[in-house]
Amino acid sequence: MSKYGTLYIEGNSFFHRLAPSIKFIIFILWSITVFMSLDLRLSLALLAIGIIFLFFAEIPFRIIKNLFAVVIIFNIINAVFILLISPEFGAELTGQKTRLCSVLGFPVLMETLFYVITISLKYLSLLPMALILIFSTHPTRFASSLNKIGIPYKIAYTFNIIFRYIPEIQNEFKIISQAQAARGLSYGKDEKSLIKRMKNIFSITIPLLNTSLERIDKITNAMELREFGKYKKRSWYNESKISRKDLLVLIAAMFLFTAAVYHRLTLDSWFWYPFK
Amino acid sequence: MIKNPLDFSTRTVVTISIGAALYGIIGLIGIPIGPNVQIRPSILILTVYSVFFGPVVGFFAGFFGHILTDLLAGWGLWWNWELSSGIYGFCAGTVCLFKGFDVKYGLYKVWHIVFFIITTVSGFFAAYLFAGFLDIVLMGEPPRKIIYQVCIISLTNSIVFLCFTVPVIVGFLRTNKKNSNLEIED
Repeated sequence: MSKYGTLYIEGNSFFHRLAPSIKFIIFILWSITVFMSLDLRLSLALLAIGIIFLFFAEIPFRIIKNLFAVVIIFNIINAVFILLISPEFGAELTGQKTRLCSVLGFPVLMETLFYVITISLKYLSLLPMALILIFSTHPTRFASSLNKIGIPYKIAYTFNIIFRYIPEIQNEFKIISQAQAARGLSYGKDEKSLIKRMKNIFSITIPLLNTSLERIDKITNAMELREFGKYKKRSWYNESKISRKDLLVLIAAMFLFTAAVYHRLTLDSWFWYPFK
Repeated sequence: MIKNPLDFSTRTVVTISIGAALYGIIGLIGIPIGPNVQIRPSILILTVYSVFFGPVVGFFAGFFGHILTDLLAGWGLWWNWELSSGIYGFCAGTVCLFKGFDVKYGLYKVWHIVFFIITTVSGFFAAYLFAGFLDIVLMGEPPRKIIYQVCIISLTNSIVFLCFTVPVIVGFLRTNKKNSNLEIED
């Protein structure tokens, strides 16, 4: 974690320079495109584009590798669950049944297998743009960009406070857990009993809660002294102006999005299955 | 009791932020008890914030806090699960709308607690059903698998809630009652 307490990595890549609000809109369009269909071709294309984007965003490979590993493990567990709980789902989607083999008495359908691969890639194809948004957006710019895309500033400002207080809360958590550790309470692996571990973790949480409740008063007073919320609008210290380049990127993204919507409308089913 | 739940004062903004920050950071800590299932103490924080400050604070603290967890963990943003945290926070906070319930002064009756338990447990089911439903519609997950998943998550969360969170809330109510035998006159 960086000094901001988040995953932001400093850099000067194309995505770092892009206005955060534009990045946000692209992320939303990207998600809608993924949600629209269950299409292996689309997922593969988006994944390929996303990986190229990640390369351009200059995010260290070792970090991406770990995060992709987490999501791939999640996908494998998810796929096993799908195969166990609803092994006939592929047949329901396509209307045909092709038995491949049977594992321990469970029949494995080719359609379900294809469906599992499709949905795993669908989950993966959502990842790159989210990573770019997370890794290349400075946390304090996050709030102003949310305000820019139409969210009221009082709600957007919460993100400013959140990011500012992450390091303090982490610090406090460390102090409290060390104080409890001195009393012999541990929430780590060295405590064998699961129930005790749970109790210990709660005994760290409650002091943390109490101090946070006290903190609210202090921050509120400080902000009210500075007349927070008096006017309908506010300006931001970290405001990023939308340049002509940003607008071009936005127009390109919009164009690609409309192309994806058009492509989706020409298909009659949202699940793409080539072996008919 | 929360007089005007939709009032967005400076205090509300700060409460939401601190609640979300705590919920988000503690959300990273979990004790694994099975495949893809963890017991998380963060749900206690969200519940306490909802009960103290009402449904609107609960909603935003849950929603933003869960976004923060996802931002910090870096495994992508999953809107439906983030919103489900918000829905849970909202449901847990509805008890605040009653007159005569106030955690700050330790004011409560037994039926408040019963109502709170019912809304919270149904809040778990509502939240995860919502997220699961969107998983079916948007991601194309098989409905039967999602139903199993939703049931397992909601039940484990409800059990942890009954064993750990309810005593904490009642404890807050009782300790606050001790130091407030003065009454407010309107």
